[in-house]
Amino acid sequence: MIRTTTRRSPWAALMVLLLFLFAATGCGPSFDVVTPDDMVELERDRHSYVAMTYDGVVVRGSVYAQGERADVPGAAHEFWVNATRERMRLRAGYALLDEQEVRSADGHLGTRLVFGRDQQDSPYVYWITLFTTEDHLHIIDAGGQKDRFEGVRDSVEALLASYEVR
Amino acid sequence: MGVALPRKMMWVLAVIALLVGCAAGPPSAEMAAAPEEVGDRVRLAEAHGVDDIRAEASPAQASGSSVSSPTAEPPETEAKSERGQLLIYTGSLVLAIYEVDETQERIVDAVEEMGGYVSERSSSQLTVRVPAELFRDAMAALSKMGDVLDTSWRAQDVTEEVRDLEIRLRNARQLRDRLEGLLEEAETVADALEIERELERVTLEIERILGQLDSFEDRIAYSTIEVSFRPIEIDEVPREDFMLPFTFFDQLGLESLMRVPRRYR
Repeated sequence: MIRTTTRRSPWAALMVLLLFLFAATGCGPSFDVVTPDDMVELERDRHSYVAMTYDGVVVRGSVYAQGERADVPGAAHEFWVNATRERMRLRAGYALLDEQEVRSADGHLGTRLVFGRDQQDSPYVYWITLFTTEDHLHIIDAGGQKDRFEGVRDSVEALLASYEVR
Repeated sequence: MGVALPRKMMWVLAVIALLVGCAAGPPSAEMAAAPEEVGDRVRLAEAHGVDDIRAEASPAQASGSSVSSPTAEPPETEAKSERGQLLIYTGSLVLAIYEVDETQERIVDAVEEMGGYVSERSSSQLTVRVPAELFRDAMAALSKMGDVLDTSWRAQDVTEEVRDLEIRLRNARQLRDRLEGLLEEAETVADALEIERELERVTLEIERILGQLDSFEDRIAYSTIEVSFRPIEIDEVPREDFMLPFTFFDQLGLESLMRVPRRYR
C-alpha cells in the first residue's frame, strides 16, 4: 500500500492567515448591495458605489469612516440626520417631502429623507438614506427626473433594501 | 355796442381799484386794528391755547435762520414774546436704530400721547405734528429713540406774512361790503353784472386768504418734526459659520449626483 500524504503549501497557509487578518482588521468592503437588472453598475469599491438606469436615474453610495483618527468625528445617527436635513435646507430649492425609518438588509436601522425639487419647470426626486455605525457613516442618495424615477421606483427600492451595512 | 356807465359809478370803481391795488402794501403802524382783524388774531390765539399769539424768539430765530447741531436744543415755545411774533417750528432727526417697525410704533405712541399725530409714514421716515408748545419736549423724547446721527430745527417767523394776510382780508371784506351796497343801488343790468363779477372776484380772494391763514394757523399751532431712520450697520454673520465643516456634505444634492456618470464617459 502506497501511503500518500497531502503536503500543504506554505503559501496557502500564508494566504489563509492574510485573509484572516484582512477580515479582522476591517479592510474588506464597507457595504454590500445588489444592482438591479435594469441598472448598470458604474463603480464599486470599498467606500463608494454608483449605478444608474439607461435614462438617467442615479444611485450613489458613499461610506465615510468616523470616529477617532477618522476623517469625520464620531457622532450619533440623529446628529447626521439633522445635519443632512439642515444642509439640504440651506441649499435652496429642496423641499423635504417625507422622512422615513428604514432598515438595511442586515437589519441596521436607518433614516431616509425624501426631497422634491423643481428645476426648469421639471420636477425631480431626490432621496438620501443614512446608516450610522460605530465606525462608519453610510450615505446612499438616489435621484432623477420624477417621471423617470417613478418608472424605476421599485428597482431603486429593491437596491436600497439589499444594502448591507458592514 | 357799449353802455356808458354813469360818472358816479366810474369814480366809485376807480376808487375801488385803487384800494385793491394798495391792499398788499406794508402795514402802517398808525392803522388801528379793525374789529375783524382783532377777531382773526383772537381766533389764532384760541387755536394756540395761549392768551396771546406770541412766542419767545431770539433775534437769530426771528430772522428764520436754521440751527443744525447734534447738541443744539430748540427754544421754549410756550413763553410769550414781547414782540408778538408768530413762529413756525420745524425739526428733523436722523436716528440710527435696530428695529425700525418697533421704534416707529414707539414714536407714534409718544407723539399721540402729546396730542400730536403722524402726517406721513414710510419704512425709512416718519413725519409727525406736535402741539407747538411741546415742540422741545417732542424733540427731546424722539432723540432718545435711537442714536442721533443728525438733528436740526428751524423757527420761521411768519408774523409779517400773517399780518399782511389779515390786512388783505380786512380790506377785501370791506370791499365786498361796499360792492354789496353798490349792487343794491345798481340802476342798470350792465352795472349789476359788472358789480357781481367784481363781487365774485373779491369773494374768491377772501376765500383764498382765509385758506392761507388757516394753513399758517395750522403750522403755527402744530410743529412738524421729520424723523429719518437708518439701520445700525452690523457685521453680517458669515453663513459658513452655520454649516458643518465636512466637505462630503458638499457632494449631496442632485447637482452632484447627476454629474457622477460623466466620470465614466
